[in-house]
Amino acid sequence: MSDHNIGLSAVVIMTIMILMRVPIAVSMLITGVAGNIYFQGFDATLVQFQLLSWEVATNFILISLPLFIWMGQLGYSSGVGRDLYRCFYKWFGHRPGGLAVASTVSTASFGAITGSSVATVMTMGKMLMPEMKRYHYSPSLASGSLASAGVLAILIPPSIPLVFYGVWTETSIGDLFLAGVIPGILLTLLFSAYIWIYCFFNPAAGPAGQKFPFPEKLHSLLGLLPFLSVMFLVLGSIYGGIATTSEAAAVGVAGMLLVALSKKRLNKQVLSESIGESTKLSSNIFLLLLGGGVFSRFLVQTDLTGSLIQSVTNMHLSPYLVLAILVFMYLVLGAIIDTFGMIILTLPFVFPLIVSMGIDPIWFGVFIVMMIELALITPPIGLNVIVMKQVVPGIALMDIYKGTFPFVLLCLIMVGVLIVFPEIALWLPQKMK
Amino acid sequence: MSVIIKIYSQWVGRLVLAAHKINVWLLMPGLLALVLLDIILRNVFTSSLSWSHEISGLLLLSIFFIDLPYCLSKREFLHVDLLFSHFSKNWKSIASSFALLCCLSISIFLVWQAIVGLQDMREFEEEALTLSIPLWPFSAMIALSAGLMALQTLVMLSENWLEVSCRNE
Repeated sequence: MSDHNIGLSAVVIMTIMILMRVPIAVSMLITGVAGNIYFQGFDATLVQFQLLSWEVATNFILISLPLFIWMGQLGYSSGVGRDLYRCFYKWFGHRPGGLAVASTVSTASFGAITGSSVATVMTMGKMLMPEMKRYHYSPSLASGSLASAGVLAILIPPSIPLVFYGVWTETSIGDLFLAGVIPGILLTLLFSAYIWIYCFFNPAAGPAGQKFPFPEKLHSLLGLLPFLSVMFLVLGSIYGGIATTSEAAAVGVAGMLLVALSKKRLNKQVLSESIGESTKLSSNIFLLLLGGGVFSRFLVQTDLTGSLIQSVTNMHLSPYLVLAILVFMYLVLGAIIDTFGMIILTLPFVFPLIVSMGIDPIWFGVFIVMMIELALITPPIGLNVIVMKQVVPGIALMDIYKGTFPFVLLCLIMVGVLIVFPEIALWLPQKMK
Repeated sequence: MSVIIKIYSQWVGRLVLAAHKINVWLLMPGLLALVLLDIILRNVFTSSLSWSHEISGLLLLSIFFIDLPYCLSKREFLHVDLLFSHFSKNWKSIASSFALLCCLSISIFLVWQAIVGLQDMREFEEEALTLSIPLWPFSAMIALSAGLMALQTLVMLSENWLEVSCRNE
């Protein structure tokens, strides 16, 4: 059997294992270790595995992962989301669809702190769905807009999937964060514009809310302070040269601890839960990185990735066509695999191909995160939709999917715009250099 | 038999939780404190801890490995349910046992490589580059965590087996 066929067989076996519900990381580890033993022998594989596990686990860049997750979990418990919503509602709520717009903007902002879509939808959904019901919003628009706004969490920095991508591909996480800013803001504006236009033509779907006097609106801006302070601390420390991207996560945690303390929401339970969630998720992600590393080293020996690159090069496909194929592939994969699984399973093949085609790795990081966003709101998995269903059990899953559909189209439009105008993502990182 | 499994499962559960609590109350706060201290020293006193990066890395290594058994016990490892949800009860048990056996093999491999590493580190007296601390305790920690993961896998396998035998009765 040729090396190439061994590689292909391993991919097939790994896929079968994953479909048999073996954890993705364990499937990659088993096929990777077995493949490496076949090519190098047991002893060499043992040494290589040991070196790799130490290299991955002691990588200083990775400290941002548990710390950003911790920061997000603290944001989740400290009630920052409620303050954000109160402020945006006072400014936008009096217009048709204003409540949904306020929810979208506050969810996107809150998501920026948590970096996690699920935590964002869970917090904001619980808080905002009763409000939308009170104002007789269409259930489909209300749940769809909230589930969709949750996806903005992973695009606007600090974003955990971008950290994961940056660590795996050795791309600057600071640049990746910057690259996500403009697409994230544009997508928030696009979502808000859609809600306004939709409610302008269908006022019954999003009736106008209460109007507030200007001084009260001004006073509500104080509610933005905790959010702005933490964002300023994190981004300011990175771009002000005070801390590296990894260290900025610690600054963010300290800031969020102070916010929680000032709101009297910091206690033993909050601390234990927030740290516990962080270590649990980080450990999980570590195992994925280790599995991906072992599997990639095996793939290199089979030259499967090399052959794939060669085949695509020989086909003389334009980068646009390759990206269109990738959009399709991620849409299909997103239907069966979750965020980190999608990244780690595809990057060993896709990343070398992308680099060989001259596509910027920073741009590709934003692209891949946008594709993950789509996966979070499309059937059958659509994690955000499932979380939303748990938050509001009274709504049918299909109604939520119906509500997210326009936002899926908007995300796809944004992906198209990003492909045609990569500067949207790359301008800010270049400017900051 | 089920009583023995229950007692064994309780003991392993306690160990897994204790390890998780070490992470929560000791290692993560320690990591945060160390990183913040380094930032403050660098920016306020223009001096820095030369060993902070390396020690942070070692703390991170500990956090990752120590929480693996807890992740497994909470069934938090990422998996795909696409086909599994359509399996019959018997097939679900078979698939779960297969997945657990895979976890067990990886745990044993992790223990093995950590013990080999531990022996090498002791033999060559390997130390951290920036601070004179031996590295072998960290390898021992990996071996212990992976061993605990193997024990947790056995708990889950036996629970699976009990469930199947109860169903058959």
